[in-house]
Amino acid sequence: MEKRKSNPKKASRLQSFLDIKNQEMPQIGMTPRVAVWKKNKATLWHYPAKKKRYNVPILIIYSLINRPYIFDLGPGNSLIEAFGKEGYDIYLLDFGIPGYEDGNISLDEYILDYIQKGVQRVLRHSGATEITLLGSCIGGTLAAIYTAIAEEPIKNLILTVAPIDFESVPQFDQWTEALREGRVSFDEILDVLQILPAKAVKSGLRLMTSPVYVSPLFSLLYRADDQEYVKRWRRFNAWTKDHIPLTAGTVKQMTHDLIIGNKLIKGTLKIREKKAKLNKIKANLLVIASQNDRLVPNTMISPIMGAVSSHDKTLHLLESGHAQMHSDDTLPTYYKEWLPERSGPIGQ
Amino acid sequence: MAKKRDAYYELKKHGTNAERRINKKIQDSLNKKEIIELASLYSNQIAPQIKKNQDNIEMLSVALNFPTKRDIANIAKMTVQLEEKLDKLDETLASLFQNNPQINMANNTTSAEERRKRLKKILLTSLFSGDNANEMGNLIGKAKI
Repeated sequence: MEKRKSNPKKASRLQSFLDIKNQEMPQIGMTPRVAVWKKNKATLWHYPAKKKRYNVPILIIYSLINRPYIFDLGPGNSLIEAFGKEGYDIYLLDFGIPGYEDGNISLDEYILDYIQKGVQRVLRHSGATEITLLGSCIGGTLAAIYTAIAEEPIKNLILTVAPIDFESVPQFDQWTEALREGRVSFDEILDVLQILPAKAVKSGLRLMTSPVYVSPLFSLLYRADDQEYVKRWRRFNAWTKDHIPLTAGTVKQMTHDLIIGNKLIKGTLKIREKKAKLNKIKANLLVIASQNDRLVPNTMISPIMGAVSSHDKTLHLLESGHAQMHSDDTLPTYYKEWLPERSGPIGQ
Repeated sequence: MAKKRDAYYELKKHGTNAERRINKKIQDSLNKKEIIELASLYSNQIAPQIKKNQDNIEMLSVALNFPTKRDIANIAKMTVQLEEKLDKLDETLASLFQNNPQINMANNTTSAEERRKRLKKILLTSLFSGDNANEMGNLIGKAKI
């Protein structure tokens, strides 16, 4: 009893921590947006700039395993909001949540039927003659593959924590070796199930990164008296648990073409009979990797720098982990310094 | 700096380190070829059984007249096909408007009936060539659409 009295701040922080579960969940994704195209479960969203200052719009392509609202968690906690404030027109391709009926959707379909069509729609909707692609995680891999076969004018390609070279996969190298030796195969079960449920995707990723995952709770407890931090933490925490199913077609193609064959960096990948060679990429390239990324380390990302034909290419190394939460309302410096002059500033 | 010395900071620091060590142990202990081989073996054993059960349910659905997941998947795929056809039509119209600015001008100057006729003509000549366009034009004209 005396102890608690002697340190009232500690008690109030613990009390704040315990009270969090009783508080209303903060809203997620509040930047105004309009749907400009829909196909199957996918939606192409447009987030208009507050005051448009650049001619080249940005299309964000996100991963196939999480929801894309990581880019727009909440006011002051949103990369999309920050881009909009700077005068960029932003589009986001949300692939939606696939179901059993989408089991045959593979990388081919995602790239040609969704991303390429999405790019065409953005160009038409914005009236722009060129586009910037921003791909994150597996979305970055898809963006790089698409850019290698694109017929559309891709001015800039930005890849954040996007795996390109699968030669050395972090953790579980023995599993990868067994796959490459042809001693294991999951094709049959995938054909039967047609979909890898969200819970399985979540468990698989947890196993690869943090099978025991309690440290975020320690961080929350440490800053439980900071209301803004608590809001940000809760939004981010909701996102980390919100995985989506993977289609059997995608898992099979990723396993065979990317993990076993490592075809993207070797230049032997084909997307519906089209050769997807990275040396066909001539767009200005900004690659962002994270030093503490346990899921996609720099060794899987940086080889793209030597594989593309782009003359203008930059590799930026961050000190964060895989998932980067945007925690203020300004653009990160690496975007502020790199993007404006390459985005066709209006009036210049 | 004052906060760094408090118990919560120590808990965060040591807890995170302990978590990292435990995770490394778990991952190292699972990173064995035998484990994934066992998982593969098991999945390849149960896959034919699941497939057999699914096929039996399909058979049963014929007799008992209930829809299965495969039926729903087929309908969903047809919907996507329909979406793709609409997209194609939309793209054709968009390129027509882009390549024929007179369509936009006509919107402001002519009656709805004239605009309809003009649009039909451009559509038909774009979608079908020569005789086919005339034939389709007659058919559409008769159908009064």
